[in-house]
Amino acid sequence: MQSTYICMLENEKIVFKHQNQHKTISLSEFEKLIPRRQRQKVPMTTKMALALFKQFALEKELVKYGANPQKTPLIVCNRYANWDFVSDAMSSDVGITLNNVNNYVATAWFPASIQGFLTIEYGNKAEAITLATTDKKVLSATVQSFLDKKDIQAIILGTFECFPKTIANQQILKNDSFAFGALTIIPSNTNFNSIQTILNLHQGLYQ
Amino acid sequence: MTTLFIKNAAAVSPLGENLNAIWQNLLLREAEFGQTHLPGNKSYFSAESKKGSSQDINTYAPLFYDKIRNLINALEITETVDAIFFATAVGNLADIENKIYSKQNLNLDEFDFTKVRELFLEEHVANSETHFVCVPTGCCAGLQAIGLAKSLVDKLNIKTAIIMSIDFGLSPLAFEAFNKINATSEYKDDLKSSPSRPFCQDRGGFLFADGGGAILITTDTVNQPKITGYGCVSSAYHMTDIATDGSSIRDSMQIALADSGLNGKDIDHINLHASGTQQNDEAEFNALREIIGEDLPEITAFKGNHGHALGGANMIEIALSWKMLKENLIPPTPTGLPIDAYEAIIKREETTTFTGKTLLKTASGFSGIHASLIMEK
Repeated sequence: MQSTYICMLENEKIVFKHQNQHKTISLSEFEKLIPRRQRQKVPMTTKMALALFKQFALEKELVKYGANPQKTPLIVCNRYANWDFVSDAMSSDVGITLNNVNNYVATAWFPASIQGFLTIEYGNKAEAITLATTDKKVLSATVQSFLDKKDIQAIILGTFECFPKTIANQQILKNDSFAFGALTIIPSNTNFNSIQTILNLHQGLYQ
Repeated sequence: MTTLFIKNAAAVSPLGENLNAIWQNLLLREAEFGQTHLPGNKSYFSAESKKGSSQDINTYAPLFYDKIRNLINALEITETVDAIFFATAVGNLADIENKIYSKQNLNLDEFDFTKVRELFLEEHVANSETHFVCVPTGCCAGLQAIGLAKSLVDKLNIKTAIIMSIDFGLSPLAFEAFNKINATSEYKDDLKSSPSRPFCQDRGGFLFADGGGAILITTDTVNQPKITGYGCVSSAYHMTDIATDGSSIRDSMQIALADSGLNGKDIDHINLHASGTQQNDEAEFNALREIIGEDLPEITAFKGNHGHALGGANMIEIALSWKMLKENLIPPTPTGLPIDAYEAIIKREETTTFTGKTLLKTASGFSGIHASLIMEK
Protein backbone atom coordinates (compact mmCIF):
# COMPACT_ATOMS: atom_id res chain seq x y z
CA MET A 1 0.00 0.00 0.00
CA GLN A 2 1.54 3.26 -1.11
CA SER A 3 1.59 6.35 1.01
CA THR A 4 1.95 10.00 0.01
CA TYR A 5 3.66 12.64 2.13
CA ILE A 6 2.81 16.28 1.47
CA CYS A 7 4.37 19.58 2.45
CA MET A 8 2.71 22.95 1.81
CA LEU A 9 3.34 26.60 2.48
CA GLU A 10 0.18 28.00 4.07
CA ASN A 11 -0.08 31.42 5.69
CA GLU A 12 3.67 31.72 6.23
CA LYS A 13 3.75 28.33 7.93
CA ILE A 14 4.64 24.87 6.73
CA VAL A 15 2.03 22.14 6.90
CA PHE A 16 2.96 18.47 6.65
CA LYS A 17 0.22 16.04 5.68
CA HIS A 18 0.21 12.28 5.69
CA GLN A 19 -3.07 10.32 5.58
CA ASN A 20 -5.17 11.97 8.31
CA GLN A 21 -2.26 13.55 10.14
CA HIS A 22 -1.58 17.27 9.82
CA LYS A 23 1.31 19.03 11.47
CA THR A 24 1.97 22.77 11.22
CA ILE A 25 5.34 24.29 12.00
CA SER A 26 6.89 27.73 11.67
CA LEU A 27 9.29 28.56 8.87
CA SER A 28 12.16 28.72 11.36
CA GLU A 29 11.32 25.23 12.61
CA PHE A 30 11.13 24.10 8.99
CA GLU A 31 14.64 25.45 8.34
CA LYS A 32 15.97 23.28 11.15
CA LEU A 33 14.90 20.19 9.20
CA ILE A 34 17.34 21.15 6.46
CA PRO A 35 20.98 20.10 6.90
CA ARG A 36 22.82 23.22 8.09
CA ARG A 37 25.35 23.13 5.23
CA GLN A 38 22.54 23.19 2.65
CA ARG A 39 20.33 25.96 4.01
CA GLN A 40 21.83 28.81 2.02
CA LYS A 41 22.40 26.72 -1.08
CA VAL A 42 19.01 25.31 -1.94
CA PRO A 43 15.64 26.64 -3.08
CA MET A 44 12.32 26.07 -1.31
CA THR A 45 11.36 23.02 -3.37
CA THR A 46 14.57 21.23 -2.45
CA LYS A 47 14.12 22.20 1.19
CA MET A 48 10.65 20.69 1.10
CA ALA A 49 11.96 17.46 -0.39
CA LEU A 50 14.72 17.20 2.20
CA ALA A 51 12.28 18.10 5.00
CA LEU A 52 9.76 15.45 3.91
CA PHE A 53 12.46 12.81 3.97
CA LYS A 54 13.49 13.83 7.47
CA GLN A 55 10.05 14.54 8.93
CA PHE A 56 8.64 11.17 7.85
CA ALA A 57 11.88 9.16 8.03
CA LEU A 58 11.38 8.10 4.41
CA GLU A 59 14.70 6.28 4.26
CA LYS A 60 13.35 3.84 6.84
CA GLU A 61 10.02 3.66 5.03
CA LEU A 62 11.82 2.57 1.88
CA VAL A 63 13.50 -0.25 3.79
CA LYS A 64 10.07 -1.40 5.02
CA TYR A 65 9.11 -1.93 1.37
CA GLY A 66 12.24 -3.98 0.84
CA ALA A 67 13.87 -1.19 -1.15
CA ASN A 68 17.48 -0.08 -0.89
CA PRO A 69 17.48 3.73 -0.33
CA GLN A 70 20.81 3.90 -2.17
CA LYS A 71 19.32 2.22 -5.24
CA THR A 72 15.81 3.63 -5.49
CA PRO A 73 14.88 5.38 -8.74
CA LEU A 74 13.46 8.87 -8.44
CA ILE A 75 10.98 10.73 -10.65
CA VAL A 76 10.47 14.41 -9.87
CA CYS A 77 7.74 16.48 -11.49
CA ASN A 78 8.59 20.18 -11.72
CA ARG A 79 7.27 22.69 -14.28
CA TYR A 80 8.78 25.94 -13.04
CA ALA A 81 12.42 26.61 -12.30
CA ASN A 82 13.30 27.74 -8.79
CA TRP A 83 12.69 31.44 -9.30
CA ASP A 84 12.24 31.94 -5.56
CA PHE A 85 16.01 31.51 -5.23
CA VAL A 86 16.72 34.54 -7.46
CA SER A 87 13.57 36.62 -7.05
CA ASP A 88 15.25 39.18 -4.80
CA ALA A 89 18.52 39.11 -6.76
CA MET A 90 16.83 39.96 -10.05
CA SER A 91 16.51 43.61 -11.00
CA SER A 92 15.42 45.49 -14.08
CA ASP A 93 19.01 46.79 -14.04
CA VAL A 94 21.23 44.07 -15.53
CA GLY A 95 24.29 45.29 -13.64
CA ILE A 96 22.50 45.05 -10.29
CA THR A 97 21.29 41.54 -11.16
CA LEU A 98 24.85 40.44 -11.97
CA ASN A 99 26.16 41.84 -8.70
CA ASN A 100 23.47 39.96 -6.78
CA VAL A 101 24.12 36.52 -8.29
CA ASN A 102 25.63 34.23 -5.67
CA ASN A 103 27.68 31.04 -5.87
CA TYR A 104 24.65 28.77 -5.66
CA VAL A 105 22.40 30.11 -8.43
CA ALA A 106 23.87 27.73 -11.04
CA THR A 107 22.74 24.70 -9.09
CA ALA A 108 19.70 26.06 -7.22
CA TRP A 109 17.77 27.71 -10.05
CA PHE A 110 17.26 24.72 -12.30
CA PRO A 111 14.57 22.07 -11.73
CA ALA A 112 17.04 19.18 -11.31
CA SER A 113 18.21 20.80 -8.07
CA ILE A 114 15.67 18.64 -6.25
CA GLN A 115 16.82 15.28 -7.64
CA GLY A 116 20.46 16.29 -7.23
CA PHE A 117 20.32 17.25 -3.57
CA LEU A 118 18.06 14.31 -2.67
CA THR A 119 20.31 11.73 -4.32
CA ILE A 120 23.45 13.28 -2.83
CA GLU A 121 22.01 13.62 0.69
CA TYR A 122 20.89 9.99 0.79
CA GLY A 123 23.67 8.43 -1.29
CA ASN A 124 21.16 7.27 -3.88
CA LYS A 125 22.90 6.16 -7.09
CA ALA A 126 19.82 5.05 -8.98
CA GLU A 127 18.43 6.68 -12.10
CA ALA A 128 16.71 10.00 -11.43
CA ILE A 129 14.74 12.18 -13.82
CA THR A 130 12.87 15.46 -13.63
CA LEU A 131 9.82 15.94 -15.83
CA ALA A 132 7.71 18.94 -16.75
CA THR A 133 4.45 17.69 -18.16
CA THR A 134 0.70 17.85 -17.72
CA ASP A 135 0.27 14.59 -19.62
CA LYS A 136 -0.93 12.00 -17.11
CA LYS A 137 -0.47 9.13 -19.55
CA VAL A 138 3.20 10.05 -19.90
CA LEU A 139 3.59 10.24 -16.13
CA SER A 140 1.79 6.94 -15.62
CA ALA A 141 3.88 5.18 -18.26
CA THR A 142 7.07 6.66 -16.78
CA VAL A 143 6.19 5.36 -13.33
CA GLN A 144 5.39 1.94 -14.77
CA SER A 145 8.60 1.84 -16.80
CA PHE A 146 10.67 2.67 -13.72
CA LEU A 147 8.86 -0.03 -11.72
CA ASP A 148 9.62 -2.50 -14.52
CA LYS A 149 13.38 -2.02 -14.15
CA LYS A 150 15.47 -4.92 -12.91
CA ASP A 151 15.76 -5.50 -9.14
CA ILE A 152 13.53 -2.57 -8.21
CA GLN A 153 11.37 -2.95 -5.08
CA ALA A 154 10.03 0.59 -5.06
CA ILE A 155 10.45 4.00 -6.67
CA ILE A 156 9.97 7.51 -5.35
CA LEU A 157 7.65 9.93 -7.13
CA GLY A 158 7.89 13.58 -6.22
CA THR A 159 6.07 16.73 -7.27
CA PHE A 160 7.47 20.06 -6.18
CA GLU A 161 6.74 23.66 -7.10
CA CYS A 162 7.50 27.03 -5.61
CA PHE A 163 6.90 30.37 -7.23
CA PRO A 164 7.37 33.85 -5.78
CA LYS A 165 4.71 36.54 -6.01
CA THR A 166 7.24 39.02 -7.38
CA ILE A 167 10.47 38.83 -9.37
CA ALA A 168 12.61 41.94 -9.72
CA ASN A 169 9.84 43.89 -7.99
CA GLN A 170 7.42 42.90 -10.76
CA GLN A 171 4.27 41.18 -9.57
CA ILE A 172 3.86 37.87 -11.41
CA LEU A 173 1.14 36.22 -9.33
CA LYS A 174 -2.20 37.80 -8.43
CA ASN A 175 -2.22 35.90 -5.18
CA ASP A 176 0.58 35.10 -2.75
CA SER A 177 3.65 33.02 -3.48
CA PHE A 178 2.96 29.30 -3.55
CA ALA A 179 5.04 26.32 -2.54
CA PHE A 180 4.09 22.68 -2.31
CA GLY A 181 5.66 19.28 -2.48
CA ALA A 182 4.66 15.64 -2.37
CA LEU A 183 6.61 12.41 -2.19
CA THR A 184 5.17 8.94 -2.66
CA ILE A 185 6.96 5.65 -2.26
CA ILE A 186 5.49 3.38 -4.93
CA PRO A 187 6.19 -0.34 -4.40
CA SER A 188 6.87 -2.49 -7.46
CA ASN A 189 3.60 -4.40 -7.05
CA THR A 190 1.44 -1.29 -7.27
CA ASN A 191 -1.38 -1.74 -9.77
CA PHE A 192 -2.45 0.60 -12.57
CA ASN A 193 -5.43 2.05 -10.71
CA SER A 194 -3.36 2.85 -7.64
CA ILE A 195 -0.80 4.62 -9.83
CA GLN A 196 -3.60 6.76 -11.26
CA THR A 197 -4.78 7.63 -7.75
CA ILE A 198 -1.26 8.69 -6.80
CA LEU A 199 -0.84 10.79 -9.93
CA ASN A 200 -4.23 12.46 -9.39
CA LEU A 201 -3.15 13.40 -5.89
CA HIS A 202 0.15 14.84 -7.11
CA GLN A 203 -1.36 16.71 -10.04
CA GLY A 204 -4.18 17.93 -7.82
CA LEU A 205 -1.66 20.02 -5.91
CA TYR A 206 -1.57 22.42 -8.87
CA GLN A 207 -5.27 23.33 -8.36
CA MET B 1 14.84 -4.61 -26.25
CA THR B 2 13.15 -1.54 -27.71
CA THR B 3 14.85 0.01 -30.73
CA LEU B 4 14.37 3.57 -31.94
CA PHE B 5 15.21 4.12 -35.61
CA ILE B 6 16.38 7.65 -36.46
CA LYS B 7 14.60 8.69 -39.65
CA ASN B 8 16.08 12.18 -39.75
CA ALA B 9 18.21 14.51 -37.67
CA ALA B 10 18.74 18.25 -37.44
CA ALA B 11 21.02 20.60 -35.53
CA VAL B 12 22.04 24.20 -35.08
CA SER B 13 25.26 25.25 -33.42
CA PRO B 14 27.92 27.97 -33.57
CA LEU B 15 29.49 25.88 -36.32
CA GLY B 16 26.51 26.14 -38.65
CA GLU B 17 22.81 26.88 -38.98
CA ASN B 18 21.96 23.34 -40.05
CA LEU B 19 23.33 19.82 -39.66
CA ASN B 20 25.05 19.71 -43.05
CA ALA B 21 26.81 23.03 -42.46
CA ILE B 22 27.99 21.87 -39.03
CA TRP B 23 29.18 18.58 -40.52
CA GLN B 24 31.14 20.29 -43.29
CA ASN B 25 32.83 22.58 -40.79
CA LEU B 26 33.73 19.59 -38.60
CA LEU B 27 35.42 18.00 -41.62
CA LEU B 28 37.32 21.26 -42.13
CA ARG B 29 38.50 21.13 -38.47
CA GLU B 30 36.81 24.44 -37.69
CA ALA B 31 36.40 25.64 -34.12
CA GLU B 32 34.11 28.54 -33.27
CA PHE B 33 34.52 30.88 -30.31
CA GLY B 34 34.18 34.55 -29.51
CA GLN B 35 33.27 36.78 -26.62
CA THR B 36 30.27 38.25 -24.89
CA HIS B 37 30.46 41.56 -23.02
CA LEU B 38 28.31 42.16 -19.97
CA PRO B 39 27.79 45.29 -17.86
CA GLY B 40 30.55 46.03 -15.39
CA ASN B 41 33.37 45.53 -17.93
CA LYS B 42 32.85 41.78 -17.84
CA SER B 43 33.76 39.80 -20.91
CA TYR B 44 33.54 36.02 -21.28
CA PHE B 45 34.41 33.48 -23.91
CA SER B 46 31.32 32.28 -25.71
CA ALA B 47 30.28 30.47 -28.88
CA GLU B 48 27.15 31.81 -30.53
CA SER B 49 24.98 30.28 -33.23
CA LYS B 50 24.10 33.81 -34.33
CA LYS B 51 27.25 35.91 -34.15
CA GLY B 52 27.08 38.90 -31.84
CA SER B 53 23.54 38.13 -30.69
CA SER B 54 24.25 37.58 -27.00
CA GLN B 55 25.57 41.14 -26.70
CA ASP B 56 21.98 42.33 -26.88
CA ILE B 57 19.44 40.37 -24.85
CA ASN B 58 16.62 41.87 -26.90
CA THR B 59 18.10 40.32 -30.06
CA TYR B 60 19.01 37.11 -28.31
CA ALA B 61 15.70 36.42 -26.51
CA PRO B 62 13.63 35.17 -29.49
CA LEU B 63 16.33 32.77 -30.74
CA PHE B 64 15.17 29.97 -28.43
CA TYR B 65 11.75 29.91 -30.09
CA ASP B 66 13.05 30.63 -33.62
CA LYS B 67 15.54 27.77 -33.51
CA ILE B 68 12.99 25.29 -32.16
CA ARG B 69 10.85 26.10 -35.22
CA ASN B 70 13.88 25.77 -37.50
CA LEU B 71 14.74 22.35 -36.07
CA ILE B 72 11.15 21.17 -36.46
CA ASN B 73 11.12 22.25 -40.10
CA ALA B 74 14.52 20.72 -40.79
CA LEU B 75 13.18 17.30 -39.77
CA GLU B 76 10.83 17.45 -42.81
CA ILE B 77 7.92 15.86 -40.96
CA THR B 78 4.96 14.97 -43.15
CA GLU B 79 2.48 13.78 -40.51
CA THR B 80 1.81 14.70 -36.90
CA VAL B 81 3.93 12.70 -34.50
CA ASP B 82 2.69 10.63 -31.58
CA ALA B 83 4.96 12.21 -28.98
CA ILE B 84 7.40 15.00 -28.33
CA PHE B 85 10.26 14.54 -25.90
CA PHE B 86 11.74 17.97 -25.34
CA ALA B 87 14.84 18.64 -23.27
CA THR B 88 16.55 21.77 -22.05
CA ALA B 89 18.63 23.18 -19.24
CA VAL B 90 17.49 26.78 -19.07
CA GLY B 91 14.54 26.90 -21.51
CA ASN B 92 13.37 30.42 -22.32
CA LEU B 93 15.50 32.05 -19.60
CA ALA B 94 16.83 34.70 -22.01
CA ASP B 95 13.31 35.73 -23.00
CA ILE B 96 12.25 36.06 -19.37
CA GLU B 97 15.38 38.03 -18.51
CA ASN B 98 14.81 40.32 -21.48
CA LYS B 99 11.28 41.05 -20.27
CA ILE B 100 12.55 41.75 -16.75
CA TYR B 101 15.30 44.10 -17.97
CA SER B 102 12.93 45.90 -20.33
CA LYS B 103 10.17 46.04 -17.68
CA GLN B 104 7.66 44.12 -19.78
CA ASN B 105 4.82 42.34 -18.00
CA LEU B 106 5.25 38.65 -17.27
CA ASN B 107 2.74 35.99 -16.27
CA LEU B 108 3.13 32.56 -14.72
CA ASP B 109 2.55 30.69 -17.99
CA GLU B 110 5.72 32.17 -19.44
CA PHE B 111 7.74 30.38 -16.75
CA ASP B 112 6.10 27.00 -17.41
CA PHE B 113 8.40 24.52 -19.21
CA THR B 114 5.34 22.66 -20.58
CA LYS B 115 4.28 25.66 -22.68
CA VAL B 116 6.94 24.86 -25.29
CA ARG B 117 4.41 22.33 -26.57
CA GLU B 118 2.50 25.19 -28.24
CA LEU B 119 5.33 25.77 -30.73
CA PHE B 120 4.98 22.19 -31.97
CA LEU B 121 1.22 22.66 -32.33
CA GLU B 122 1.74 25.88 -34.28
CA GLU B 123 4.14 24.12 -36.64
CA HIS B 124 1.49 21.40 -37.23
CA VAL B 125 3.75 18.49 -36.26
CA ALA B 126 1.63 17.81 -33.15
CA ASN B 127 -2.06 17.79 -32.35
CA SER B 128 -4.17 17.49 -29.22
CA GLU B 129 -3.47 13.74 -29.05
CA THR B 130 0.32 14.13 -29.21
CA HIS B 131 2.04 13.31 -25.93
CA PHE B 132 4.39 16.01 -24.66
CA VAL B 133 6.99 15.95 -21.94
CA CYS B 134 9.87 18.27 -21.16
CA VAL B 135 12.98 16.96 -19.42
CA PRO B 136 14.62 19.99 -17.76
CA THR B 137 17.57 18.21 -16.19
CA GLY B 138 20.37 20.31 -17.65
CA CYS B 139 23.36 19.03 -19.56
CA CYS B 140 22.19 15.41 -19.54
CA ALA B 141 18.60 16.22 -20.50
CA GLY B 142 18.80 15.27 -24.17
CA LEU B 143 20.05 11.77 -23.51
CA GLN B 144 17.51 11.38 -20.72
CA ALA B 145 14.77 12.41 -23.16
CA ILE B 146 15.92 9.66 -25.54
CA GLY B 147 16.03 7.16 -22.69
CA LEU B 148 12.54 8.18 -21.64
CA ALA B 149 11.28 7.81 -25.20
CA LYS B 150 12.85 4.38 -25.42
CA SER B 151 11.06 3.24 -22.27
CA LEU B 152 7.67 4.74 -23.19
CA VAL B 153 7.14 3.93 -26.88
CA ASP B 154 5.68 0.49 -26.23
CA LYS B 155 3.58 1.56 -23.24
CA LEU B 156 2.04 4.51 -25.10
CA ASN B 157 1.92 2.85 -28.51
CA ILE B 158 4.17 5.55 -29.96
CA LYS B 159 5.18 4.98 -33.59
CA THR B 160 6.83 8.32 -34.32
CA ALA B 161 8.25 11.01 -32.07
CA ILE B 162 10.41 14.09 -32.08
CA ILE B 163 13.21 14.15 -29.53
CA MET B 164 14.77 17.59 -29.23
CA SER B 165 17.17 19.30 -26.87
CA ILE B 166 18.03 22.95 -27.19
CA ASP B 167 19.48 25.78 -25.14
CA PHE B 168 19.95 29.39 -26.09
CA GLY B 169 21.15 30.30 -22.63
CA LEU B 170 23.84 32.90 -23.21
CA SER B 171 22.02 35.30 -20.90
CA PRO B 172 23.50 37.64 -18.27
CA LEU B 173 22.14 35.59 -15.35
CA ALA B 174 23.48 32.33 -16.76
CA PHE B 175 26.93 33.78 -17.56
CA GLU B 176 27.28 35.21 -14.07
CA ALA B 177 25.95 32.07 -12.36
CA PHE B 178 28.52 29.91 -14.19
CA ASN B 179 31.23 32.50 -13.61
CA LYS B 180 30.59 32.40 -9.87
CA ILE B 181 31.46 28.69 -9.80
CA ASN B 182 34.44 29.12 -12.15
CA ALA B 183 32.77 27.03 -14.86
CA THR B 184 33.43 29.54 -17.64
CA SER B 185 36.50 31.51 -18.68
CA GLU B 186 36.99 35.27 -18.78
CA TYR B 187 37.92 36.45 -22.27
CA LYS B 188 41.60 36.80 -23.21
CA ASP B 189 42.37 38.24 -26.64
CA ASP B 190 45.73 36.49 -27.03
CA LEU B 191 44.30 32.96 -27.21
CA LYS B 192 45.27 31.37 -30.55
CA SER B 193 42.89 28.39 -30.50
CA SER B 194 39.60 27.51 -28.88
CA PRO B 195 39.29 27.72 -25.09
CA SER B 196 37.23 24.53 -25.35
CA ARG B 197 39.98 21.92 -25.14
CA PRO B 198 38.65 18.44 -24.41
CA PHE B 199 41.35 15.85 -23.84
CA CYS B 200 44.13 18.44 -23.92
CA GLN B 201 46.44 18.70 -20.93
CA ASP B 202 45.80 22.43 -20.67
CA ARG B 203 41.99 22.16 -20.70
CA GLY B 204 40.47 24.64 -18.28
CA GLY B 205 36.69 24.45 -18.32
CA PHE B 206 33.86 24.59 -20.75
CA LEU B 207 33.18 27.13 -23.47
CA PHE B 208 29.64 28.40 -22.90
CA ALA B 209 27.71 28.04 -26.18
CA ASP B 210 24.20 27.76 -27.55
CA GLY B 211 22.48 25.47 -29.98
CA GLY B 212 20.41 22.34 -30.18
CA GLY B 213 19.45 19.31 -32.14
CA ALA B 214 16.54 17.02 -32.87
CA ILE B 215 15.83 13.58 -34.20
CA LEU B 216 12.72 12.11 -35.74
CA ILE B 217 12.37 8.55 -34.52
CA THR B 218 10.19 5.67 -35.53
CA THR B 219 9.65 2.25 -34.04
CA ASP B 220 9.12 0.79 -37.51
CA THR B 221 12.21 -0.89 -38.92
CA VAL B 222 13.88 1.38 -41.47
CA ASN B 223 17.36 1.28 -42.95
CA GLN B 224 18.75 4.02 -40.74
CA PRO B 225 21.02 4.21 -37.67
CA LYS B 226 19.18 3.20 -34.53
CA ILE B 227 19.30 3.60 -30.77
CA THR B 228 19.53 0.23 -29.06
CA GLY B 229 20.78 0.87 -25.54
CA TYR B 230 20.38 3.39 -22.73
CA GLY B 231 21.65 3.63 -19.19
CA CYS B 232 21.40 6.35 -16.55
CA VAL B 233 22.58 6.67 -12.95
CA SER B 234 23.03 9.31 -10.28
CA SER B 235 26.48 9.80 -8.84
CA ALA B 236 25.30 10.88 -5.35
CA TYR B 237 28.62 12.71 -5.25
CA HIS B 238 28.35 16.46 -5.84
CA MET B 239 26.03 18.92 -7.61
CA THR B 240 28.75 20.13 -9.99
CA ASP B 241 31.83 17.95 -9.50
CA ILE B 242 32.43 14.53 -11.01
CA ALA B 243 34.32 11.78 -9.22
CA THR B 244 37.40 11.31 -11.41
CA ASP B 245 37.41 7.55 -10.94
CA GLY B 246 34.58 7.57 -13.48
CA SER B 247 32.61 4.96 -11.59
CA SER B 248 29.19 6.55 -12.23
CA ILE B 249 29.89 7.05 -15.92
CA ARG B 250 31.09 3.46 -16.06
CA ASP B 251 27.85 2.28 -14.44
CA SER B 252 25.73 4.17 -16.98
CA MET B 253 27.79 2.61 -19.80
CA GLN B 254 27.32 -0.88 -18.37
CA ILE B 255 23.55 -0.48 -18.19
CA ALA B 256 23.40 0.89 -21.75
CA LEU B 257 25.53 -1.97 -23.07
CA ALA B 258 23.39 -4.55 -21.29
CA ASP B 259 20.27 -2.92 -22.72
CA SER B 260 21.67 -3.24 -26.24
CA GLY B 261 23.03 -6.76 -25.73
CA LEU B 262 26.60 -5.63 -26.45
CA ASN B 263 29.76 -5.53 -24.39
CA GLY B 264 32.53 -2.95 -24.24
CA LYS B 265 34.71 -4.68 -26.82
CA ASP B 266 31.87 -4.42 -29.36
CA ILE B 267 32.03 -0.61 -29.40
CA ASP B 268 33.56 0.79 -32.60
CA HIS B 269 33.38 4.52 -31.87
CA ILE B 270 32.83 6.75 -28.87
CA ASN B 271 31.37 10.25 -28.85
CA LEU B 272 32.01 11.66 -25.40
CA HIS B 273 30.42 14.40 -23.32
CA ALA B 274 33.97 15.82 -23.12
CA SER B 275 33.10 19.17 -21.60
CA GLY B 276 36.78 20.09 -21.38
CA THR B 277 36.96 20.29 -17.61
CA GLN B 278 39.83 18.47 -15.95
CA GLN B 279 37.45 16.29 -13.92
CA ASN B 280 35.00 15.33 -16.67
CA ASP B 281 37.57 14.19 -19.20
CA GLU B 282 39.55 12.22 -16.64
CA ALA B 283 36.38 10.55 -15.36
CA GLU B 284 35.28 9.59 -18.87
CA PHE B 285 38.73 8.25 -19.72
CA ASN B 286 38.82 6.11 -16.57
CA ALA B 287 35.32 4.79 -17.25
CA LEU B 288 36.32 3.81 -20.79
CA ARG B 289 39.41 2.01 -19.51
CA GLU B 290 37.23 -0.11 -17.23
CA ILE B 291 34.58 -0.83 -19.83
CA ILE B 292 36.70 -1.28 -22.95
CA GLY B 293 40.29 -1.73 -21.81
CA GLU B 294 43.66 -0.33 -22.89
CA ASP B 295 42.96 -0.14 -26.63
CA LEU B 296 40.22 2.38 -27.21
CA PRO B 297 38.42 2.90 -30.51
CA GLU B 298 38.53 6.35 -32.10
CA ILE B 299 36.90 9.07 -30.03
CA THR B 300 35.13 12.28 -31.04
CA ALA B 301 34.51 15.23 -28.73
CA PHE B 302 32.60 17.93 -30.60
CA LYS B 303 32.58 20.49 -27.79
CA GLY B 304 36.13 21.19 -28.97
CA ASN B 305 34.56 22.54 -32.17
CA HIS B 306 31.64 24.57 -30.88
CA GLY B 307 31.63 24.63 -27.11
CA HIS B 308 29.00 23.43 -24.68
CA ALA B 309 25.38 24.32 -25.39
CA LEU B 310 24.21 22.85 -22.05
CA GLY B 311 21.24 20.50 -22.64
CA GLY B 312 21.29 21.45 -26.31
CA ALA B 313 24.72 19.88 -26.71
CA ASN B 314 23.32 16.36 -26.28
CA MET B 315 21.18 16.38 -29.38
CA ILE B 316 23.72 18.27 -31.49
CA GLU B 317 26.10 15.41 -30.72
CA ILE B 318 23.45 12.73 -31.32
CA ALA B 319 22.64 14.32 -34.71
CA LEU B 320 26.36 14.35 -35.57
CA SER B 321 26.74 10.75 -34.38
CA TRP B 322 23.86 9.79 -36.69
CA LYS B 323 25.73 11.59 -39.46
CA MET B 324 28.95 9.67 -38.72
CA LEU B 325 27.09 6.35 -38.90
CA LYS B 326 25.39 7.32 -42.16
CA GLU B 327 28.43 8.84 -43.89
CA ASN B 328 30.91 6.23 -42.59
CA LEU B 329 33.28 9.04 -41.73
CA ILE B 330 34.93 10.27 -38.54
CA PRO B 331 35.82 13.98 -38.57
CA PRO B 332 39.35 15.07 -37.66
CA THR B 333 40.04 16.86 -34.38
CA PRO B 334 39.72 20.67 -34.41
CA THR B 335 42.65 22.75 -35.59
CA GLY B 336 44.85 23.96 -32.76
CA LEU B 337 44.00 21.33 -30.17
CA PRO B 338 46.94 19.08 -29.23
CA ILE B 339 44.78 16.23 -27.79
CA ASP B 340 47.68 15.28 -25.55
CA ALA B 341 46.07 14.35 -22.23
CA TYR B 342 46.08 10.57 -22.71
CA GLU B 343 48.14 8.39 -25.01
CA ALA B 344 45.13 6.25 -25.87
CA ILE B 345 43.15 9.23 -27.17
CA ILE B 346 44.78 10.43 -30.35
CA LYS B 347 44.64 13.52 -32.50
CA ARG B 348 43.32 13.04 -36.04
CA GLU B 349 44.72 15.35 -38.71
CA GLU B 350 42.44 13.96 -41.41
CA THR B 351 38.93 12.64 -41.78
CA THR B 352 39.01 8.86 -41.38
CA THR B 353 36.77 6.15 -42.74
CA PHE B 354 34.45 4.58 -40.20
CA THR B 355 34.17 0.87 -40.85
CA GLY B 356 32.43 -0.07 -37.61
CA LYS B 357 28.78 -0.48 -36.73
CA THR B 358 28.41 0.63 -33.10
CA LEU B 359 28.75 3.92 -31.26
CA LEU B 360 28.74 4.77 -27.55
CA LYS B 361 27.57 8.26 -26.55
CA THR B 362 27.86 9.77 -23.07
CA ALA B 363 26.54 12.83 -21.25
CA SER B 364 26.76 14.19 -17.71
CA GLY B 365 25.03 17.04 -15.97
CA PHE B 366 24.79 19.15 -12.84
CA SER B 367 22.96 17.31 -10.05
CA GLY B 368 25.26 14.34 -10.58
CA ILE B 369 23.45 12.64 -13.43
CA HIS B 370 25.19 10.47 -16.03
CA ALA B 371 23.72 8.81 -19.11
CA SER B 372 25.06 6.60 -21.88
CA LEU B 373 23.54 5.59 -25.16
CA ILE B 374 24.29 2.94 -27.77
CA MET B 375 23.72 3.65 -31.45
CA GLU B 376 24.10 1.04 -34.19
CA LYS B 377 24.01 0.95 -37.98
